[in-house]
Amino acid sequence: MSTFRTFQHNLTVLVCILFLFRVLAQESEKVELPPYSEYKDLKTKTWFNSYGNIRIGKRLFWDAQTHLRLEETKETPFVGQVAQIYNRHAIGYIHSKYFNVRLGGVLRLNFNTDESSEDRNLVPEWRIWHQYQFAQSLSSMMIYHRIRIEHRWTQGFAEDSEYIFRNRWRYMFRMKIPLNSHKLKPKTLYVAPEAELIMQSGKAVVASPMEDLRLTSTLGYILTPRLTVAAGAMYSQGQDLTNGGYFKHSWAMRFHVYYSPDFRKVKNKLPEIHLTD
Amino acid sequence: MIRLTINPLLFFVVCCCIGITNSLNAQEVKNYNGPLQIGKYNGKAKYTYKIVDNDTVLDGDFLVVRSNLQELLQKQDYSFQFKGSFVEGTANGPWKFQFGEFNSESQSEIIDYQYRVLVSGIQKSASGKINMGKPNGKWTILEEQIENSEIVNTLFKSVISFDNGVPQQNFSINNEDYTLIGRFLRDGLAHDEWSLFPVNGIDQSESWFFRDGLLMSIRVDDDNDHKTIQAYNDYNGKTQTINLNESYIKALEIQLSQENIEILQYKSLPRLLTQNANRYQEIDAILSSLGKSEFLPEFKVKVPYYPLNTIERNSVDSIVSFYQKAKILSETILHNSQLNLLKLSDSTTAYQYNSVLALKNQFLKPIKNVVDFDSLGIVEFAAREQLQKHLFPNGFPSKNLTIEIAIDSTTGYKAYEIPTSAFIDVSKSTIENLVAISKAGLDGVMAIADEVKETLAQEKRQNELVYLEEQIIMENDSLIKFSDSLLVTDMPVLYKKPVQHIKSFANRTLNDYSKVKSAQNRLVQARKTVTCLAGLNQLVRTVEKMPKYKDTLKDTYTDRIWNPFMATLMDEDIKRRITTAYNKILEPYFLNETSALDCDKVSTLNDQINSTYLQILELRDQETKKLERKLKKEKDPLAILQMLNVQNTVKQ
Repeated sequence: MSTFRTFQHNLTVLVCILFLFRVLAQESEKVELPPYSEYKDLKTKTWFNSYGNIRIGKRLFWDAQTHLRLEETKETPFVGQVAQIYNRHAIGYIHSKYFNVRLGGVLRLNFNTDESSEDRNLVPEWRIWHQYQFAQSLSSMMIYHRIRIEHRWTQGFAEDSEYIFRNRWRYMFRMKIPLNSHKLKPKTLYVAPEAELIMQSGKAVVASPMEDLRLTSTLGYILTPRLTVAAGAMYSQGQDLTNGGYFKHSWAMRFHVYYSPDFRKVKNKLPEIHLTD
Repeated sequence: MIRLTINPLLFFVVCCCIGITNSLNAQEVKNYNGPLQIGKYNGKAKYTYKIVDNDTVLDGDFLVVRSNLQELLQKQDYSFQFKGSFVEGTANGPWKFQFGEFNSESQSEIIDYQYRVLVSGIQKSASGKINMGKPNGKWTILEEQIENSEIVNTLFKSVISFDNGVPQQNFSINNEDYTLIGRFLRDGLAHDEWSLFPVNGIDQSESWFFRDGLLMSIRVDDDNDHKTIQAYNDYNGKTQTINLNESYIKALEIQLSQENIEILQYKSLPRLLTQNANRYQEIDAILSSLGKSEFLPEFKVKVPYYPLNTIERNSVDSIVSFYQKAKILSETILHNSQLNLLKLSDSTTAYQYNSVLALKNQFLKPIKNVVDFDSLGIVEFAAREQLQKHLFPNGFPSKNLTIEIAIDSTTGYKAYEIPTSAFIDVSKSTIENLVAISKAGLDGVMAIADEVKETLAQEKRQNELVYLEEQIIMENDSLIKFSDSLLVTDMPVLYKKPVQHIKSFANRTLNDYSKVKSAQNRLVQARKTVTCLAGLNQLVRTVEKMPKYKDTLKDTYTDRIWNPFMATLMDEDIKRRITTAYNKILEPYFLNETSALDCDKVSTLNDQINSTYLQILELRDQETKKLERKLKKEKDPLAILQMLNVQNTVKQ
């Protein structure tokens, strides 16, 4: 517990410094890189993610994700308090078993976790995103390559802060390895290691193109073809937007529910071809 | 003003002219030249016709021919030529028909720079005039034997004169054996002397004397004697005009004594007439298929007419009905193999058998003649006494018969009295007596049939039992063979056990049957056993299919669905309550039922298994939410079957 207190303490100091820097930056618009890259204090987060994938046609589906992200604060160590509520939606197109694309929007509600802040408590963040996912099977496991491109408009909590526009370039490599079965099928426990690199660009991005590197390991269980649960741990680090010399890093516990209902009438769902007829 | 009056009149006249021209145009005569099929004749035709109401109506000259040299040279050719003319679809004018069947022995000669092939065979021809479909004037019909293109023999020849279809004046018909010459009145009735001469000059000749169609007498001449047989000589009552055919001869037969019947060669006369009628029939068939025709010569004669009144008519109907029943019964008895054997050793059976034989000869045979006369419609053409005399020349049979019994070369006699209420009495009318005789015949046969009933039934039973026992063996062999073959396969033990149960139950059933001693019970039991074993055969085959049923149901109730998160297809069990009910409750129940079988349950169980399977297959694509809810709590197999509507199906 003492460690976390220290962290909290440090964090407050850091936020104060950052704030100071920001004020200074605004005033002078001059950012000075530290002589050596520095890690900021480690944070912990807890993510509850639900992933819906609702079939709306032979090849079309509605991707509906709702995430609840908690972030530790001084008052709420470890598990943290609500930081973001995340609504990611898209319409997807299944090109084949091995390739699908989707396009949609995100509305993220950012909560101000800074207990000392006088600013607004809640600001929205908007994104347009598109994603290209390739899947391939390798022996009993599956390998996925995910390219996700986001166009995001963000703003700070300050009353008069303006939206800044950035692009995010994300690539994720993921594997799903069944543990108690020769393939991914119901009643299978699997482990899913993944690595995702998130790069960013935009006017506001001067010296911090690497926004995040996420290394995750998840343990999942396929309950039915339509329902899977998973939980894992993620370590992430990335450059601070305002000063590329500082690196944020955190540990997150992630809990996922994957569901894929299909409300179409039975007669419209032909076997196998549900996909490829 | 005058011009105004005339103009409409002129217009009317012009319209009429145009109308007539149009209708003439519509009936324009057209030519046809091409193939034509008339019944069995297929040849090349050339004719003129017109179209009336979309129908082809022949009008004008007509010709159809066929001959094929190639076929003639190879084996045999049939040739024909029909030549004549039609008026408005009806044959009219001179006609000639020729039919030939020839073969050639490939002999040919050259005459006047032409190859001539010599043919042999038979040539038939008919020629004469037709007046609107009916023969008119002299018609000659010929059948000649041809050898090397020369006539060597006349097989048949008929020359008849007609007046608008009615035969007139003199005619002659001859075949290879006889010649018939006769005369008709203007109304077509046979008249005067009809003479039948033998061609060889040796056999007797006959002269039939008609007066106004009524046959008076027949004079038979042979080398050294002559005899006159009286026919309807003295008759001057009511008559009816009928055709001279076989029925007429039958009616005549009633009139004549048996002795006279045997003297006469008269059968040659109707035979000649029939031959003649057939030729005319051939031509009529051809003409009918082309248009309207009445090309049938009718040789009319008169017969005495003794009409039946309503009561007599009904009586004749009863005679026919009595006879038919008696015939069936007597045939059954006389052809029964058991009785045929028994009568050789057992005097009672011999007595019964021979009684039926006597009834058949003395009662049923004469009655059969009445039935035949009735079907020919000639009962009314004979005087009742004459009919009676003809049927029973030795008087009516008696109800008291003497039956001969011959066993082991000793012959005995025994009296038999027909147990009947029918009363034969000479003072009653002929028809009444015929009814009585036919009834007595039937009563007699029925009484004996009743006595030998047990023997008849026993034979039937015996035969059935033999058949059933063969079936039992067959079913049992099939069952054992099939079960044994199943037991050595890699079928799961779960299903092998029921097969064992069924096999041993079949064995028990067979044992039970073999213990039945009484003959009566044995038949009943044999029937049951066959049904039971047949049911078991079906059941064991159903059990063989049950693993497949289970697999098919699993496949049917599995959906391959796309898991978007894994990007793989996964099997999803759908409507699990239904499949679970089958796998966990119904199938174990069915398999278990085989351990407590009884014959009454076998086919029900078999039907239940099959209908359940089919029903569940069908439910795959049906709305089953309610059923699934009900199945959730239910554990009783019978209740589940009821829910699936299987119980009902089986009961039906």
